[in-house]
Amino acid sequence: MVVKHNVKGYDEFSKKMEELEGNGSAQVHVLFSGGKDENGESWCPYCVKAEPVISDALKKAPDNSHFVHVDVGERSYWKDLNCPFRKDPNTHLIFLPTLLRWKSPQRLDGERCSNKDLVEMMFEDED
Amino acid sequence: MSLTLWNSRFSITLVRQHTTIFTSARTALTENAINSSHLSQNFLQRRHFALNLMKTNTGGDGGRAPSNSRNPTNNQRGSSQPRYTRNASMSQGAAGGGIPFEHPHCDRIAMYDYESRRNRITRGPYDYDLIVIGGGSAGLACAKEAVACGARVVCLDYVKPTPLGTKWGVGGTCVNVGCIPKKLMHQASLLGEAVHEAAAYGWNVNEKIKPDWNKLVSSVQNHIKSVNWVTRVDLRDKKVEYINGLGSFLDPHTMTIKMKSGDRKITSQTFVIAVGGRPRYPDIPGAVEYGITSDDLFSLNREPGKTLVVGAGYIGLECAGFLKGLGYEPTVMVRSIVLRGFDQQMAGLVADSMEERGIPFLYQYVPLSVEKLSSGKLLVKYEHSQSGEVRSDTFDTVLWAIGRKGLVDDLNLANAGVHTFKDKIQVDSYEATNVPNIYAVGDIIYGKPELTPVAVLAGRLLARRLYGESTQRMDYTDVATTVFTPLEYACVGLSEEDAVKEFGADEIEVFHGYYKPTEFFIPQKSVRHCYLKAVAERHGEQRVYGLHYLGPVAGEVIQGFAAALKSGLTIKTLMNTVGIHPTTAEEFTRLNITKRSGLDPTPASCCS
Ligand SMILES: Cc1cc2nc3c(=O)[nH]c(=O)nc-3n(C[C@H](O)[C@H](O)[C@H](O)COP(=O)(O)OP(=O)(O)OC[C@H]3O[C@@H](n4cnc5c(N)ncnc54)[C@H](O)[C@@H]3O)c2cc1C
Repeated sequence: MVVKHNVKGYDEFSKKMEELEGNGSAQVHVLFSGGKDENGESWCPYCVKAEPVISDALKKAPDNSHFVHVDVGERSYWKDLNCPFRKDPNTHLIFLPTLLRWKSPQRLDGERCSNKDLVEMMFEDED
Repeated sequence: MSLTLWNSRFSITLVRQHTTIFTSARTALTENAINSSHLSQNFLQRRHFALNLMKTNTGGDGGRAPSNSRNPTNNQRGSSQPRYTRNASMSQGAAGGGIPFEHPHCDRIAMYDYESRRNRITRGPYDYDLIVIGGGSAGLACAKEAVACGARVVCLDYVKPTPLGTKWGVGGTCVNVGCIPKKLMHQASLLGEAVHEAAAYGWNVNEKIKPDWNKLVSSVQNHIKSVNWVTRVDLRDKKVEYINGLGSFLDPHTMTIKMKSGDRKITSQTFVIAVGGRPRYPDIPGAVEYGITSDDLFSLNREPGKTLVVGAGYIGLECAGFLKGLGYEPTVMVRSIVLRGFDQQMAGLVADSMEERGIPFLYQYVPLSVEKLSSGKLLVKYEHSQSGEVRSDTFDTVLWAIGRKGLVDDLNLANAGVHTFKDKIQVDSYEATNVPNIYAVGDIIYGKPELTPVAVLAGRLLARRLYGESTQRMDYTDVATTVFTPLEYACVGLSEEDAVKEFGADEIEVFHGYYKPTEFFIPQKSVRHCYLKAVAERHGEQRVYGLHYLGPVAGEVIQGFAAALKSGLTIKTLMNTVGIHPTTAEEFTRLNITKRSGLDPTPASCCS
């Protein structure tokens, strides 16, 4: 089974990645999406669209791999060009949502995160 | 007919001889002209002599060797084949006859509006409408376009590891072991140069900058891996089926594919062969065991160190150039000439500019053997091709850059009946082979520029003709290109010698000049080889046949001029174009000295 993690904000995210990297070489997929308000509604429509597709496709990810869902935060925080998620050389986020394999070339963003075919390819890709 | 042919060949030889006289006289002239502005009497005499000879030889019909395909008034002289129709007419038979296509400068209509064969999307007895063999520049472009036109397509790609074990992902040569890593390493080398110059511009830079080869390689390889990923995503997104397997023909409609998971047989109505090529190794002891090629260099897990680059084509020169810029010690071994196929005056200047930067050239030498010494160094023995003198030296790396071989061997083309020619495949102007349902495109075809944008466009146009409404054929003429040596060289159109060969030296005017890039002054960079020229028609409209530029950012400079040249650029237009100041590209608008005048082509002042 894929091990799922949910984190909120940049600090929690960095701590989680450090912890997972310490654990060894298991594959880690990370989904970055816009935060939700108290009603559970997100300001990021593509993130909303992507979530069910991704959680469904997660079945295809290798056993014992990790999946980290990162709530990036509020819209205004994300829109700031100095937002640490944008600046971090390991994330270099430009679009939300972004689905990536940690420290690997595999990355999907925007509308492609809700394309079942592509998301499954991401989780199955062996290179 | 055969007599005419013989005749014309005869006169071509003669004209070549004249042009040799011309070129050598002219080269001597340019060298001297810098000091004296007078035409040498000797040169005038020889020119007169050559002209007379040419007149006597152009009397007969077949003697119109340098026939002017670009000058419409000459076109009714149909008996000799001008350069640009030769290929088309050779292929007419296969294409089923029709009008020959002329050079696009004067006959675009014939080229683009001629009825071509179209393949119906059959859904017939075959698994696929189209199998594309090779997932490089040409194959991917062709496969994607065919799918966009509604065809059922599968694209195969398989990379055999190099003798050293290097392998790579989908995308072909350009992305993995060609244009992309090459340009990135060239950029790394230019940046090193820029850091040194920065000091003169007032930056406080630590003098001891040094490159980290492993860091560079991993940055370059990471970029390539993300391009591989994006390619796979793109294929999936566009619903192009992709198989990582090696294809070979069983018959003209059947192919077996060797995959990790075993073999598979598939059938198709149509095939496009886009298998590209790989570097050659010389047939000498130690070549394969100890030498590497460009296929290995961009991912080499150790510093190259002192490197012998064997071969002076563009790949050899570019590799030597960036290795030098990164602080290693390359030596270039040249068997015969530098940059074969390019304008030889420019080629000479490129080589000189590299020698000026401290890259030694061993002219007229061929390697004999490579041995590994107990120290780990490589001992290379090499021989002077004229005198037979044998020398040897030790190196850390030996890089073969002696040419590329088409990947025809694994295809079992005999099973499909496709003919090969010098490990390439000959095609007509529709990229059709001798077998009606099999086409070839990209580096694998014989006698066309081996460049990514050529492969991409030809692949796309082929798919549109096969499955779309298009009749447009690929125009392989006047393709611009750049050699990314430390001082870059870019050109479009004819070289000076080809223009002379085609039209005769008396019909060609060459405008040329040395120039001084503004930004070279402060760091006192050498301007010795910053040179450009326009090869043009001497009389009439003064059409520009070729543009040549040696200097910074050459590709960026020439790309726009390539569009101008294809649109029929004349010297008058060039001279009436207002430059952008201060740039180096503007030097093209300032050309006014002809080689023929013998005037000094060096600039009088820096910034008039
Ligand atoms: C060092 C270097 C630098 C270059 N720099 C430039 C440059 O700056 N600009 C430029 O325009 N061009 C450059 N080129 C040339 C450019 O890379 C080629 O022109 C281009 O890649 C040709 O594309 P192609 O599709 O014909 O072949 P390729 O890109 O070589 O693709 C062919 C693919 O088919 C695969 N294949 C072969 N046989 C089979 C088979 N039987 N079954 C399945 N798959 C098979 C091959 O492994 C390969 O992946 C450079 C080349 C080199 C080597």
